[in-house]
Amino acid sequence: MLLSYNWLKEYIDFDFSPQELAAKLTDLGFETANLEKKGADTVIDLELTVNRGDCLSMIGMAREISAITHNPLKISSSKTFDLSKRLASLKLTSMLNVSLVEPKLCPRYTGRIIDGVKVGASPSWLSDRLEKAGIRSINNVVDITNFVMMELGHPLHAFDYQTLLGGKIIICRATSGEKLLALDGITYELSPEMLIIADAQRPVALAGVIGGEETGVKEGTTTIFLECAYFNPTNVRQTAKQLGIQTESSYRFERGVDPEGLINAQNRATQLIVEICNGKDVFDIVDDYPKKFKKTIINLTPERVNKILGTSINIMDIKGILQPLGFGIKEKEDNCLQIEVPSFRHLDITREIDVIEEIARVYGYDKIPVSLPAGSFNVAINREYELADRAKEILVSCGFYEVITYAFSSPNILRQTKIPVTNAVLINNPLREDENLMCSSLIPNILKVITWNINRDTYNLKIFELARVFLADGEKKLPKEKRILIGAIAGNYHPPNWRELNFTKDEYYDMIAGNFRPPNWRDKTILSNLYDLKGVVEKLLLELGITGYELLAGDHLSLHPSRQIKLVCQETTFGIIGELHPDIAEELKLPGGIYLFELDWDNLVDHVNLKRRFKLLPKYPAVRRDVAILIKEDISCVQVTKIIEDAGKDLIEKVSLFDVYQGDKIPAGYKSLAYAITYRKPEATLTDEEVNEVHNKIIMELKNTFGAELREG
Amino acid sequence: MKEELTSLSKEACLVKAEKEIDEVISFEALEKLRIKYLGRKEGIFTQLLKQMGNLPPQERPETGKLINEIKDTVTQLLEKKGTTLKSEEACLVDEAQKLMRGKMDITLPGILPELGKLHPITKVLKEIVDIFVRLGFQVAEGPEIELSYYNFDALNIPSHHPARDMHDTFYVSKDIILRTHTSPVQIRVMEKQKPPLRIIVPGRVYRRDADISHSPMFHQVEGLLVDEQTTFSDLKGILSTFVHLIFGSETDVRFRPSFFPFTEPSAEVDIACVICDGKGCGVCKYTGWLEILGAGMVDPEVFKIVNYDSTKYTGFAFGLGVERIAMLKYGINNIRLFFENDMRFLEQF
Repeated sequence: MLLSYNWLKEYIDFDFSPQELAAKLTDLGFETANLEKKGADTVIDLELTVNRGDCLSMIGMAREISAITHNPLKISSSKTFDLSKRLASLKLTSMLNVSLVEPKLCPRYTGRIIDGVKVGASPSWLSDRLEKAGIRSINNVVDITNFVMMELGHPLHAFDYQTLLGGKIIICRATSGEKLLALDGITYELSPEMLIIADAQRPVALAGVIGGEETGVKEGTTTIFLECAYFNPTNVRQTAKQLGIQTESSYRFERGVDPEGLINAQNRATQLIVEICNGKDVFDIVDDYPKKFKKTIINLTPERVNKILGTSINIMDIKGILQPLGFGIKEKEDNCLQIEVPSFRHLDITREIDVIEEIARVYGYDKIPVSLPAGSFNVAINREYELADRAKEILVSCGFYEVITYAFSSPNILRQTKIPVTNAVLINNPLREDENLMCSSLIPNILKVITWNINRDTYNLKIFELARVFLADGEKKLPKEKRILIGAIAGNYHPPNWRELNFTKDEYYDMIAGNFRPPNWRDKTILSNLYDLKGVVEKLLLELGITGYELLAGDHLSLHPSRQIKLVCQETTFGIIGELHPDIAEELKLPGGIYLFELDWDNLVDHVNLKRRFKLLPKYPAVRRDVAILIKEDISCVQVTKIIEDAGKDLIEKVSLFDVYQGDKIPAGYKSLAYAITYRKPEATLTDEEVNEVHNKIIMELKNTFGAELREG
Repeated sequence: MKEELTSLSKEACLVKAEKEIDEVISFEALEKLRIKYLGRKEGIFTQLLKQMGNLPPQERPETGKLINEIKDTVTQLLEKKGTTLKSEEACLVDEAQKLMRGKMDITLPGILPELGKLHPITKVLKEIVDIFVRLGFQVAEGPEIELSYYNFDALNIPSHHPARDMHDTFYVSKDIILRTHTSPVQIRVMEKQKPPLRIIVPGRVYRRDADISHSPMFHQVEGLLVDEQTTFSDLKGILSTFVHLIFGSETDVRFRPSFFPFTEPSAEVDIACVICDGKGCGVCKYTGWLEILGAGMVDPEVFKIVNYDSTKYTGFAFGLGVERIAMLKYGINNIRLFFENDMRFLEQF
């Protein structure tokens, strides 16, 4: 709401400058968005909270100032409201029949006819006032209704009496399909939920929202019917929402006006119309008010106030705060106050706590002391939350960046990434059509990040995200939410640097004492592949204490059919690792060599074990023996490792693969695997004989099981 | 050293000289040793020969011969040591030159190890949550797709109330929505747990709005404390502590009245603008203050819904936007940057 500083001064005295006023209003809970100097006046742009419909007027704001200055309002005793001399004994009922059909949607309806009106331009003081309030001047009659609305907070509407057909005003629901050409020039189609004002034949206004064009006051209008009513806030809001209109009127009705203030507003408007528009004959007021508004009485003790606020406010303070705001206060025994809520606050103040808020607000939040809560509380760790942190930490240590992506998706991207659309959750009112689903997989999200970066010449990516995916679970039920940990690498595992450009990779490894990344059986290449990501996942699971899972050939549609792994634990697949399916890469215009992993975090969390026990450091030296074998290429590495471990069980400390070879030096269809086996006995130094015995046993087993041939050095 | 001619023994004399020569490691020391033995005036052998006059004449030739023999051997030993030292020195020089040949250009850039990083939102979120965890709050979470009941009705936001305008909502169906705030978790926790209660709820929320300071998905942290003696002054204490920990102990905090349907009295918490120190700038719209938190005493209506006795218990709740805090902390001017995940952005934090 725009608040004119000079205009406000007509209703209450105060010594604040416009800036001081803005600061005071902020402290009272009225946020000031802007101060604008307009000639000799300053206009303050106030952001009112939705509960303060009573403050959408000069008089409302003046009451707030009164609460902090204790100066009286200047309008209450104003004689300008005295209309007795002008009142003719003209009976409205002789000219118009008002019938209130929907008292629930319109608890009170008042109307008055004023005859002999001369419609024309407003005097400049009037149009100036309205301009400061951001309201465009139309003509003197309409401007007066708006002026009174700004002054007292009551929207009024003036009809051209001559255009009302059949001498009737009916407050009723619209019938389906009825239309109204409104003052904004738009024809609205109405529905039966909407309350309208109708004459004998048609709707002439949308109650509380907007008037009809045909029955509006315009030049040439001589007789007006002035309406001032209390419409049901919810109904006004629904109508305005449904039709997409917001007017000064609907804005106030939605927030609730003062049902007891209608007559006052009628009289104020009438007085101005008589003065400014030459109104000659003023009829009596019709006041349809079937069920009188009941005043709210609230009991309150200072103890209760202080218990909630942590203050030491007394009865005098409370009176000093509430009385200027229009509250009636009676002191009863036992330090108890009986508080009568003014009618203009009947919507927002109905309970003890509402009164306490008023007290706190005017007392000043800055005067309320600062303390720390006493009392006990349960100290407990949210394990799942902590574990998510731990997992992120591990991945960050592995050189991965965390990303956060929008949880939206679309049928198109799901189709492109071969993810089923059927169980995705549909958003009814998406911001953009290509974001109309909640993500059911994070694969499209992570690919989007890769695309974004590759398009900006960043090629070496190691990223992960821990977020939820959403799976529909029937229309009535909330969708299932599953947490997924996804990661991806694209491009080089280590970005190239000046040194790599100058040296061969072998030199590169030879040169560094304590290799940057320890050499392994693959060692020679830096370009990342599946094993890099597999290693990251294995490391992650190891650090989280997850063991006893199997790595099997995977069958995820988004991944390369022969280059993927699924992680299985107790017959449940809880993760996948693999290369992005080349078809998808092509479709999304992505380069090859993108690897992904996806872990079902909710499932994983149950298996995490972060307990650690210290193991004594070995006292006796280890013995290392290497073995290189030639076997058929379809025998998997893990089969071989298992044989070695089983055969040497007690003495084996570690088995590590350090070379894999296939090529010219060995027959086609065969491969060579080279293992370093570390033997150690915890209680004594191993003798050569002991080692030889086990080592030979292992070689025998390998020969017997796989027909392995021993390779020399 | 004082050699007595009378007790002169070739063996003892040579063993001693040999040991001394052997211990020499420099030319200087070797020269000193040479003067000590062979010096023309003070040398040991010169001294010995001078003592010859005290001997009976018949012993003189024998003794003279002995002295000369020892002297010859020592002379040889000294010469030999000289040669050894020479060749050793040559070696050292050679070695040094060799090392110099392997000299590295120390100005070449270091090979930077690759660090991963947490997303800036996660960092700020962690910082916020950690502060409240230290204040005794416990982390709670709830669904992101939520029943309209928990998001609105149970929080005293009835349908067709203007308060719903504060939330531009994504709808899945009439009763199912994307949560517009983390506040529904308050209700879910209170339905299950009895006071005393201190919870902190981090999470993603959704609003149908997008511009440089609004994102359709963003992060909130919600807090709730319920106990028998909780007051508005406690709310001020906890939130001032929080602001001072996250923005620095010098930061001015302001509480001003506001309205939320699920708290009463409600407050908006401002901090002195971190960009201009409260002097007024574009970021704070020339007010000197930045709004960072919404808070208030839990409305008795909310307690009624979860069957808490509002004559016995009081409590406060608060909520804040993580992106907003991160933008202020890091000086980020566009909220979209958080969700583009451009590496050039992510590596800055």
